Amino acid sequence: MPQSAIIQFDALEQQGVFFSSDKQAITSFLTTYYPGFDLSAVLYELDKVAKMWDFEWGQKSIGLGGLGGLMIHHQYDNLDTSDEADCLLVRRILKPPTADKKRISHEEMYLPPSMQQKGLSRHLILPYYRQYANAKIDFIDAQAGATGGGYALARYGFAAANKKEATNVLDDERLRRIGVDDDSIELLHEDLEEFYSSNPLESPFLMWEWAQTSFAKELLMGTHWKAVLDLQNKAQKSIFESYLYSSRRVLPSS
Amino acid sequence: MTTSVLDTRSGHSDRLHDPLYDMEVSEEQLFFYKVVAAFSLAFRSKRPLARVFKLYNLTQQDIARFEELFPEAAKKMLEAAFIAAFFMPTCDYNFAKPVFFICVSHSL
Repeated sequence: MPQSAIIQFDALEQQGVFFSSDKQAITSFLTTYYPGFDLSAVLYELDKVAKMWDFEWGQKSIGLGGLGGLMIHHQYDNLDTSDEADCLLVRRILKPPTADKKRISHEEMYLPPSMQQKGLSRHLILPYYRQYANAKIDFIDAQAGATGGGYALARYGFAAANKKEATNVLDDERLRRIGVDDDSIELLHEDLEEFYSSNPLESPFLMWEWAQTSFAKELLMGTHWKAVLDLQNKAQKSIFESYLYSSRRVLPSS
Repeated sequence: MTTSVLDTRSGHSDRLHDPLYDMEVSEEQLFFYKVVAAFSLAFRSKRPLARVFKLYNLTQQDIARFEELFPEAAKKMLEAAFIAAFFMPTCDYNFAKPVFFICVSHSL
């Protein structure tokens, strides 16, 4: 059984990392559930990202949460402004496995307006993603919400967690208001019903296909739904990686 | 000439952005995803391709371009489409669907 990389707590504390839980408990959590997840490497790489993007993390904290997961939190507040919207936030939670499945929650990621649309997401996601294969993580969970993600997550290959979550996207009144024709709305409903007529209601729904429609932004932006990316699903994983690694193409050989 | 609803919507989309959507892939890659998604939805929903193509704003020229760019994938997908069309009167997608998903899965 692979062992977790040794965590150099003293060195990390000197670099500004705050451990809000007992260090032995943190080590035990990683060794028990996620041997292979190199926490120090993630922290080191995220420091490099901050340097590359010319800012300094104001908060770097790690601790075990109420539900038994390990939370890793990074935050940068632009002190030149007093605007709350100008904070950069990345929070991930390694969850205790259930039914032998390992999950990480991309709990929160918020990019301030001044840092949006510049490709920063890739740099913030990659340090974690590099550890997922080592740690044998099966699923990435995320939440699309008011601060974004509805369109991005669907485009990146995420599925809606179940029928209820997929249905949240279909707000007919809103779609009509923005000019989507009735036939298109009806077709999406039919698609959903057809899928769940032959699959359990708890099955993930492949939202990336809706993210390719001609009105995908209007359909998905600002929507609230629980998202999941199954790393054992070849299509989902390939799509996600095609975005994450800009040089990686997911095209058939021709 | 009037501007179509889709054209209007498309122009509107360009002015919007999801704060978390900042990773890009090539136009060619996006085009591939779009066509695969359209076919996949068509088979899953058991709805006519023409109706689905409208949803994705795809034209016959797009499909011809897809065949030109990705001949192997196009061949597999169109074979699956043919099988589905053959069974259309009885809608026997139970046979066509697995074939199609195998094709999609090999394409990605």
